[in-house]
Amino acid sequence: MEDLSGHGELQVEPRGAPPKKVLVLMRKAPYGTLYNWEGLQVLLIMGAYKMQGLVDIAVAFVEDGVFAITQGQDPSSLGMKAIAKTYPALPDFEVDRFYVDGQSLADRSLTLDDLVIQPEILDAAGMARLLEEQDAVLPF
Amino acid sequence: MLFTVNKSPYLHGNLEGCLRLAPAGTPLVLYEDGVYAAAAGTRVEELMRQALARHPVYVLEADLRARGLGRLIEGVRVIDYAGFVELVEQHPVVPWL
Repeated sequence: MEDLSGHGELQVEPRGAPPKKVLVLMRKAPYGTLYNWEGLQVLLIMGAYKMQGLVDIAVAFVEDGVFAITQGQDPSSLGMKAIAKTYPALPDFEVDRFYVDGQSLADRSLTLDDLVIQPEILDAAGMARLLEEQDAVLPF
Repeated sequence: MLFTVNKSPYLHGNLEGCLRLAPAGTPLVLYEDGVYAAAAGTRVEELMRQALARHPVYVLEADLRARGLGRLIEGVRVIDYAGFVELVEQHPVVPWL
């Protein structure tokens, strides 16, 4: 049998260690690919780790990722579930820090009024700072 | 010929490449993430205006609805799946994947 010691184990931090800062980075539009959907599943799972104080989780929407949180999505004719509907429920899972790249919104003729949640708008420098302060960035 | 584009114009160069090479007058269908190009007021509206000057441009309604896209660039024609099939029947298809 394969020796699994040291492989694939969660690194358990000592009690009282500061939570790891993790950012889920959404860059793709919904429905065209599954990336956004999978990122959403990861957010729901990460919420459980947040509740245990192991991670500090945030979500950033950049480039086509901003399309994931637009209002009025109805993918029923594609036989898919509306992705945007889940985002407003994330704070119930302790995922409540949302950021969006202002330039990405402007390029796509979108404003906060078009979105299902109200993320904090960051400029390029702000987004760079956010990325810099993370222990891990999970790209979707 | 019928050209189809199914990728976002922001993360891919597909739409631009297709428009550069598609013969004038040939119809263009935007579907899946390609439909984002049809929204009014965006960074790619100018590119789309050039497209509309040279091609009939269609967008698939189901993909517009899925993404909640409302205001479209004037001149873009919305089609359903039946309309898409009709176009495919009338033309050899060149998918610009």
